[in-house]
This record gives sequence, C-alpha cells and structure tokens, in this order.
Amino acid sequence: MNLVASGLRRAYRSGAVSTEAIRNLDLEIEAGEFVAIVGVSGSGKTTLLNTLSGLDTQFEGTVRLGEHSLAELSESALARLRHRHIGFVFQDFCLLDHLSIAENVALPSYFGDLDVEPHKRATELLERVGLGDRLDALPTQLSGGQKQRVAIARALFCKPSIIFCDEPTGSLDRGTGLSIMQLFDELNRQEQLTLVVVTHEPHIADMAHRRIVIEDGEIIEDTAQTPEWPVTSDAGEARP
Amino acid sequence: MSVQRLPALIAQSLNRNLGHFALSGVGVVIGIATLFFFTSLGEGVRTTVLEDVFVIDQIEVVDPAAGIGLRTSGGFGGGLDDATIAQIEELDGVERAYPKMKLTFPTQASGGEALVGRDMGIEFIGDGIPVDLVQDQVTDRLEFRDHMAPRSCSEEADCPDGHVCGDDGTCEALGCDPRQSRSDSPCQGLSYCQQDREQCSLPIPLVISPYLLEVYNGSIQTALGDSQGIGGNLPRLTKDMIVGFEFDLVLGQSYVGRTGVAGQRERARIVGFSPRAMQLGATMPLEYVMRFNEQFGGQESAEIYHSVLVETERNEDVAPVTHALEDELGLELADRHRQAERAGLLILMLTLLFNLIALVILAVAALNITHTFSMMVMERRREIGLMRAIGATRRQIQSLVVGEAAVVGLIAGLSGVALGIGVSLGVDYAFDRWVGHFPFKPDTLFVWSPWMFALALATAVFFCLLGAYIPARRAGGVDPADALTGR
Ligand SMILES: Nc1ncnc2c1ncn2[C@@H]1O[C@H](COP(=O)(O)OP(=O)(O)OP(=O)(O)O)[C@@H](O)[C@H]1O
Ligand SMILES: [Mg+2]
Repeated sequence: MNLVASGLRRAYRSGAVSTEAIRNLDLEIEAGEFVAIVGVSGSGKTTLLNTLSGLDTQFEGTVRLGEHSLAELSESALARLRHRHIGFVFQDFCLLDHLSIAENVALPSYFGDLDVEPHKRATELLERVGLGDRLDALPTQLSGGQKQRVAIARALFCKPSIIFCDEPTGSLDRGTGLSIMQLFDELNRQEQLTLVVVTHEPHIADMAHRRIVIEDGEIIEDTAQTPEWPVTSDAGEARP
Repeated sequence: MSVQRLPALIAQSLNRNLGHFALSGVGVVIGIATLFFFTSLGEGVRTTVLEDVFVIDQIEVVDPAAGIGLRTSGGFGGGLDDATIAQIEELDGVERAYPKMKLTFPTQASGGEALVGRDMGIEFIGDGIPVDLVQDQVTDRLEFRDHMAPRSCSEEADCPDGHVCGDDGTCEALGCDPRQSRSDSPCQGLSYCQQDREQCSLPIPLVISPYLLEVYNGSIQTALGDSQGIGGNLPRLTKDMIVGFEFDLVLGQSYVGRTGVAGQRERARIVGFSPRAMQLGATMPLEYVMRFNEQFGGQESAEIYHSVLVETERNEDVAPVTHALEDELGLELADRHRQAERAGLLILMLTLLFNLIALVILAVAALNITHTFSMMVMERRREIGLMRAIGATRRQIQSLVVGEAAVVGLIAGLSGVALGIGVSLGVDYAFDRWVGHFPFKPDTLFVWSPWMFALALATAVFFCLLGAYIPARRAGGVDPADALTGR
C-alpha cells in the first residue's frame, strides 16, 4: 500500500496560542520502502508520524493509505484500518506489565477477528524476533532490547503492510539499537514491509534507504541513500 | 471485539486491579445486603401478618345492610341467602361460594378439666360452614360432617358408633339411659348418651382457628401461666392436645342472656384446626347451625347467612372478583380485609422506606465506583492509548470498562446477597433466642424468593454500570496520539 500525503497541515491550539507543527507538507511513500524521518527535537516528527498513521486525524490536507483517505474514515473504520494494516513501535515499548510477553504480542487479537490462533501466532513471532524461549516471561524480566523485540512482534501480529516507529532505538544503547535496526532491515527485505522510522540519531537514519529531514514542520531534504551499516564490533554481525 | 476474547481481557484487568475493584465494590455489597435484608424482612413480615394473622388468601364478604338491621325489618333485599350464593357463583372467576352462618342464640360451653386442669364455663361463640371447606384439616377420628343427618346403610359397619343398621336401610341410634355408667351403656366408641333424646349420639365436630391457639399460647398463657390467682398455672397447649378434646354445649343458655327455650345439652368435640374456622370461637358443619338456629332462633335466622367465603378459580381472579362482589352485588368485604389492607400498606411503606435507605447507600456506592473507575482510567490512559493505536475502537474500550463494572456488580451483588442472608440468619437466631413467644411468632422473619435474588443482582449491576458510565465514556474518549506521547 502506498502512503500519500498532500497539503498536510497540523496546528496545535491551546487557548489563543497556535503552534504549527506541520506546515503544508507533501510526501509519498511507496510500498516496501524503508524510510527514516530525522529532525531536531520539536521539528514535528512525532506529529507527522501520528497523522500519517491515522492516530491523529485533526489535520488539514489529505493522507491516503492505499485506497483509504484517512480523514474520511469513521472512527471505527480507522481503528479497523490500523488494526488490519498498520503496526506501531514506540520508544518506550508500551508493553502491559501484567501480561506475559506472549499475551502482549497477542494483544491485537482482542480487538478484531483474525484467522489465526493468537497464541500460536504470538509464539511464531517471538521465535522470529529471537525470544521463542521466553514466552511466559513478564516484560519486567526483559532487557530494553528484548522489550523492543516484543513490541516489534506485537506490531507484526496482524501482518501489517506498514509499520510506524517513533524513536524505536531512543531508549536503547547503541549496540542494541543497531540490532533492532537489523531486525527492521530483515523484515523490510524478506517481507517487503514498509517501514517509517522516526529518529534523531543520524547513524540510525543511515541504515534506511531513504532519508527525510524535517525542520519546523516542513521537509527540507528528501533523498534516497545506500544504507550504511557501521562496522563496530558491538553492532553484531556485519551487514551484507 | 471478538466476543469470546472480551471476557479474557476483562478478567486480566480485574486480576491486576483486584484491590481497586474490591474497594469500589464494597459500597455496593453493603447496599445490596441492606436491600436484600429489608426486602426479605418486609416479605416475611407481610406473609405472616397477611396470611396467618388476617388470612387474606380467601375473600370473605358480608351483607352491608345486615349490620344496621335492615334485613330483619323485612322485605327489601335478600340478605345473604341461597339466591345470593347462586348469584355469586355465577360471577366470572368464582370457583365456589361457601356460606357461613353464626349461632344466633346464646350458648354456653362447659368443661375443660382434661385440658387445663379444671372445669370452666364460658360463653360459646360458634358458626357453621360447609363441610367440604375443611375436610383435609381434620386429624381426629370423628369426621367433620353432619352426624345428625340420616345415613343409609346396608350392614352394621356402615353406621357410626352407637348406631345400628335398621330395616329401612338407614342407621338408627341406640336407645340409652343417661344414668347408666359408661361401661354399661350401649353408646360405645365416639358416641355418648344424649340426655334429652335418650339416644346414643355422636358429638358435634368442631374445628378451631390456629389463631385462637396462638392467642392463647402467645398472650393468655404467657401472661397468666405463672401467676397464682385466677387462671394461674395454665399449661401451654399444642394442637395434638386439643384435637379430640370434648366439652358440653348448653344451647340456648348463657351467662349473658337466656332464650325462652330451655337449654339443650349437646357434646362437642374438637376435630382439627382450620384457618377457615372463626377466629374467636369454634366452627361446626353448617347443617348443625341451621338446625339449631331454627330451633332456638326461629325460621328466619336459619336462612340468612352472615358471610360468604368466595373461592376464585385462579389467584389473578381475586381482584376482579372482589370488584364484582362490591360493585355488582353490593356486598362488603369482611373487616379483616380492610385491616389487612392497612397492615399490608404499612409494612409495604416501611419496607420501601428502608429500601430507600438501601438505594441511597447504592447511589453513594455508584459515586464511589465513578471515582475509583475514573482513577483507574487515568492510570491506564497510556495503556488505553496503546489499545486504541493497535486497533481498539472507542466502543471496545467502553465495553471493556463497562464489562469490568458489570463483573464488579455481579460479584458485589452475590456478596451482598450472601451478607444479607448471613445477617438475616443472625437476626433470626437472635429473634428465636431472645424474643419471647407472641401470637403468630414465625419461625423465620424472612422470606426469600427467586425474584429477590434477581432484583439484588440486577440492582447491583445497574448501580455499577451507572457508576461506570462516566469513566467508560472517558476511557472511550482517550486520544491515542495524546496518550502515547504522554500529553
Ligand atoms: N499535543 C500538543 N499540544 C501542543 N503542542 C504540541 C503538541 N504536540 C506537539 N506539539 C508541538 O508541536 C511541535 C512538534 O512536536 P513533535 O512532538 O511533533 O516534535 P518531535 O519532532 O517529535 O520532537 P522530539 O524529537 O522531541 O520528539 C513542538 O513544537 C511541540 O511543542
Ligand atoms: Mg517525538
């Protein structure tokens, strides 16, 4: 599914003060792309991600995901669209501490019908992210990197076509961050998963295939790039 | 939300927030216990008062004119005679009408040695009712029927004690001499030698109201039982002691007044208890009363009934039949119906008053739930935001909170009922142990019916849902973008 935004604007109003977080932005992301969005703090990265992913519909302009125009969908249709086609990964993982990691991964199964057995699917995904032996562990028993893998497995649960990540490595040390990026890269290559990753760390952005720089709610740079993987030893295996 | 999965999610959430939920449900438990307690107490007291004290499960009508003497001054209206009975039986929903007639002349009862230890003479008040009204409550050997009526027979065994089968195929009383001793007398078994007729006769069967026994045991015996003067050392009586008890009736003679006719001594025997018997007096088969009234009070007093018991086909017919009796036939309900109505209303009002208190408790409990649930929604704002992001609709989030409230309601309702029952049992125990006997003191003060359980659970769930309404809406309104970015 292609993602197309045009004439996008998003202003936050609090009382008389209005902050223009996104100003007149056009953007097109094709299916299977691996895009990094970078910019300084407060430049509007999170706001952009929220409007593109259907979490925030109070924007002007249009955002289309496949044939759906997000602004025109009802609240529940939008929820179904997110459930069916969109995955999310957040900086602080957003896991429910009282549920086992398998149950966390299967959380989306509560909100819509799927043709898979939730526990079986969760097990497969946790194996996929290298946590097949920790199914019953609680999130509090995991390291940051492991938690983020759980969150990624959860994002993959409904076989989405696009995953939005807001600072997915922001809470991780450099090495762990790199291994998470490697996982994204694999998913992108092997499953043609579209990835939109917001980050303010240049070396993370280097690993994407396209870099979009925003400043004050506007795109100031949008370039295709050859992914650059660092050759440091703590980055795990070297990239092909 | 896949319907089978919602309960699992609710269970997880309840499990995690057990403390919060338990706290929020406490008020509901107390409210429901109060509601259940007073409802079952009200029902229990009402049942005792209305069914045992006032016996309202039967309609009894009187002729309103009878009291002011119009009837006897001749001519107008028919009074409660056979024609009226026939009219009543024609009404829709009436199964049968049973006439009742009082003895209209003074009568005295004497005896009692066997029962209370000394002979006493008292004014006798009695009435008569059709025999088929009481048959199943007779526990004595002597049947509740008109033993003076001719009885056909084909052999000796068909006839009662003191009678033989005559040549004309009816039972004939044996002649006897009242001066003979019992062992020499031909009057054996239940029969005795009646002094005026000089014939073996069977006693007049009487049924008495359980009310009478209750009043005796609960008031007279309790008050005088231990005193030394008149009435001192009266024993407590049981039904078994009274059934089979015999005493003499002197018809036409009393302490109060005397009829022109000389007193006639007849033996009477108590054969059982019936709620249909008159409350302060004794009841015999109607035929005896008609016969005695004719003999001692004249023709007219043998044809006019004093009241009519009306039996309806179904319970639902009671109200319309009551109306028809009052409006179409101009009859009046017996006094006890009006008293019962008043008592019933009073009890209902008290029950409602206490239930109002329960409702206030529940309303406060609902507020408490609103508060606790709102707090929980606030605490779980991020979690809710996440759920919304990964595909939960507003409605699903609302149902999650509502479902949690419903479970809290159900559990609180059950606990409330359990608490209510526990307190009731305690009160019953205390009541049994520390409150002395009084008329109609029931075994239990409480009546529990299925509808009360349903009412308690439904009320508990209702108030929990009411309390959760605002928090649920708030939860549904959580904006995922704001919640996830921590704003
Ligand atoms: N809910 C909000 N209400 C008011 N202003 C907001 C809100 N969210 C964002 N903003 C403002 O919009 C601008 C963009 O914020 P945004 O969170 O998108 O930046 P960001 O690039 O994600 O920054 P960071 O790297 O710090 O996460 C900022 O000026 C911020 O103050
Ligand atoms: Mg941000």
